Amino acid sequence: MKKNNKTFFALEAILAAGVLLLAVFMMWERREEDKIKVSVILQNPDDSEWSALKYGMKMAAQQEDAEVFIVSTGDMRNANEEKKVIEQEAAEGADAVIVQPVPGADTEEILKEAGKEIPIMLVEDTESTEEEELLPVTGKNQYEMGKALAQEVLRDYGGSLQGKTVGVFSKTTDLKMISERERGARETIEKAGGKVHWFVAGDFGETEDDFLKFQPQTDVILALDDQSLAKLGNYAESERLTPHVYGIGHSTEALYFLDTEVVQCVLVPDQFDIGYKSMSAVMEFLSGESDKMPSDVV
Amino acid sequence: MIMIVFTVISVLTILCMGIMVYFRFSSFVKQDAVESTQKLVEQTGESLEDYLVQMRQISDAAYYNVIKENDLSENAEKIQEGMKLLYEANINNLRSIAIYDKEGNLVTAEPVVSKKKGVDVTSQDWFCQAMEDTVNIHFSTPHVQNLFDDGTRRYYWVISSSRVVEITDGGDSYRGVLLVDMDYSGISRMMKQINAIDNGQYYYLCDKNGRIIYHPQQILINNGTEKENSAAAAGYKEGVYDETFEGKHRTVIVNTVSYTGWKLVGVIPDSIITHEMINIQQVVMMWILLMVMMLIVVNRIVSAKISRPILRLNDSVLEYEAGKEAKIYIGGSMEIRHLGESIQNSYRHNEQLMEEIVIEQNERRKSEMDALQSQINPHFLYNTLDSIIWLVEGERNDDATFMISQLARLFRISISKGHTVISVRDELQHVRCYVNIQKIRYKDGFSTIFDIDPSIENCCAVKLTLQPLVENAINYGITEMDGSEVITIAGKRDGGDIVLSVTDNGVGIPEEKLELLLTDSTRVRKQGSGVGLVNVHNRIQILFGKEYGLEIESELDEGTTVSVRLPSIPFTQENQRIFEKGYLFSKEEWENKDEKEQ
Repeated sequence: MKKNNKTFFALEAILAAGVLLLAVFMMWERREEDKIKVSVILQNPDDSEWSALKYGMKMAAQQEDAEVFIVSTGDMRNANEEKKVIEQEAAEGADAVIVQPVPGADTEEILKEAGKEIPIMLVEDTESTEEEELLPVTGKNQYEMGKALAQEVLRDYGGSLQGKTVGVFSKTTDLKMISERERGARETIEKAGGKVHWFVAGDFGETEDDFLKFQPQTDVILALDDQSLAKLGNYAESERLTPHVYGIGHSTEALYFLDTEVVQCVLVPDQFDIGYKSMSAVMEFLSGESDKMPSDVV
Repeated sequence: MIMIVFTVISVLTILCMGIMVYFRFSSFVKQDAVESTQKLVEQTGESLEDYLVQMRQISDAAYYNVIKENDLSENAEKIQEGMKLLYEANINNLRSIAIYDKEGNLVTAEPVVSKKKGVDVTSQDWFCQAMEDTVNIHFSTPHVQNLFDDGTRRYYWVISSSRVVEITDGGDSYRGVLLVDMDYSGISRMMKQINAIDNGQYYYLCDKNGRIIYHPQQILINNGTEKENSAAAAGYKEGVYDETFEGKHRTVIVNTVSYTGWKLVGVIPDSIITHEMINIQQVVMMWILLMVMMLIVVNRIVSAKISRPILRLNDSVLEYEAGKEAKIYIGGSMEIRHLGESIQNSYRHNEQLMEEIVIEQNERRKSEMDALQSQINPHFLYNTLDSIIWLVEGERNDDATFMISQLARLFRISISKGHTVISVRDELQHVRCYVNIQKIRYKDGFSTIFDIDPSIENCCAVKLTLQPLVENAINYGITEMDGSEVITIAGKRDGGDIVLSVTDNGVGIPEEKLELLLTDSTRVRKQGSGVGLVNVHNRIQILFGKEYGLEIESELDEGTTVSVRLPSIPFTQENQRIFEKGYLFSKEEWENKDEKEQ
């Protein structure tokens, strides 16, 4: 082969390699441009209680140009069902899932199995950030919330609850969350000289009003979740209860009762912040900015 | 070379074009982004203005057609009805219409709902602004309306327009405030629509003090996670601005909403344009690479089409010059064909001329040979015939007869059918005849010895080379002629050559004369046949080349040896013909030819 032939073919080969590399780079970049997909698995996701959380997630996702899919799950009864939903989302192309774990002692263990296939971030209450967790969690410190609610009572009563009785009510059956809130509130109240006269957790359906009516009279009733606060607000409004009602809630109904002075104080968990931070942590992990998803307490 | 030049020019042109295209597209992308954002901002600004104008009209209608036209005490129902009509006509955009007196007491409201307890409107912004500036209608920033309880336990985001109104009550008039609460969702819906395109650019709305009315990341701004340069935007007039905020460069398009002083701001971060630029860069790069690839191929084809005929022409000329190919390439374009034809014609003419020159030279050489050979005859013939006469007169008939027969043989060899090249055998025979004739002439005054290697007898020799040497030896070497004089004629091989020599034991030749013997052709001979050594030497060199010819060795009173060096070429008719035609063999050719024939 003549020298100029060699030069010609070498030149063409170099240029072809350049074209190929550029094409691969462009395709790779285009693939990079494909939006990150994050599925969010919540129990009863259409409930208004999740609005702020979902909005926070969407805001964080929008900043990172990612897509959020709120999975329509219905009522998941156990961790295995939730695990199936996670696996299904992974199969459908989700890059990560944010999960509200169903109540249960073995939930985290089972979800960890699913976490081998796809990164999982939990949005739920956590006892303490110091404990070793199987999966990363972005959530509220339940103990601190209960404590903060009791401190509001303490503030209204001039710093002392000496001789005062307190009733505690919760409709949520998530024992871990409620027990932590109750512990935080109880310890603060007792430290201030007050006494938790009764603590009731459960959904009593239509008999709830009667159930509340038969509880011993107390100076203060604490509602540990939004549903119980709404229930107590309604009950207090209709029955013109004398005890002061304090509660943890986020619904406009709860705020309405505060506005109409049926409820003395509403402690609003920052669900937007939980949604935003959980999604931000997922985004940082998926974009490679961090090598693991950290747990966070809001 | 043509291809390299073509390619370099093409690549430079494409690079220039690529750079121009890139810059043109880049400016177009930025211009396009700014223009489309500007259009969208203007359109949305107009929609917002329409919305606000509608609110203003509602406020005007409520004031001029309802409140001013009726006395509150006498026509309370009419006022309520008028407000109801207005509310229902604009129910999609309105949340409530209310009239307060200057103390902040509710005079009337539509829809009719219960007033919330403990609400002091005099401390609210919309009320304060209306009371401070009584001339204009004031628009608030979005806020949660918390004046009425409609029983739904819900709260609504509204934008309040407020103005001072004159209320007539029982003939007296006093100041009050007309509040029209517009549903904020109308504006937020509009803003959400233009923010729906998720490409990095966004639009926000702020009031004249820079307070955010709508922002796609309002919550994040409120909780301090994000920041917005709304304070600066509030100070901008309508137009396009480049600004750097939080270390990021961006372009902002500002539109002022009439009546309110609100600013509708479109933000194009530079990162969007940079991203687009990168895409353009890649496309342009790909285009350049493909174009260069294609042009190299095209250039190669074109340059090959141009240069190949030239190169082939050049090759054929080189081959022609090297003697390999006699045909000149004729092909390619008309001009190159013409060039080829011209070169071919030129070569043909040259060849013709060369052939003519060769023929001419051969003829000239032949004439020279003929001329040289012809120098022999007259002198020798004269002397010999004189001797024969002398023998006949002395009645020595046998000697005369022998001499005539030797003369006849000598002439027969001399003629040799006109050939110049003869065999060594014939040349020796010729010499023998000559010697025999001379011996009779000189009455055996000298003797001769022939010492010949028989293997050389079949080699080629130039006719009449030895005879002049013997003649010289007789004429100049031998002086006494007393029978003691000996002339030795020898022949032998010397490497690839043959050497014939004639040696006498005569007086020898002085050194100064020796040098002139082979060079001075103008010397006048006093005796002999007239054929000098120069003649013999020249003839040998003409036929066989400069490395052959005569060598003379002589010592005074000792004798002289004249050697003839000839190539060892077998005598054949073909070789005879070749030599006489004038072809000069190289030494290798002789040797090869010799080996083949042996």
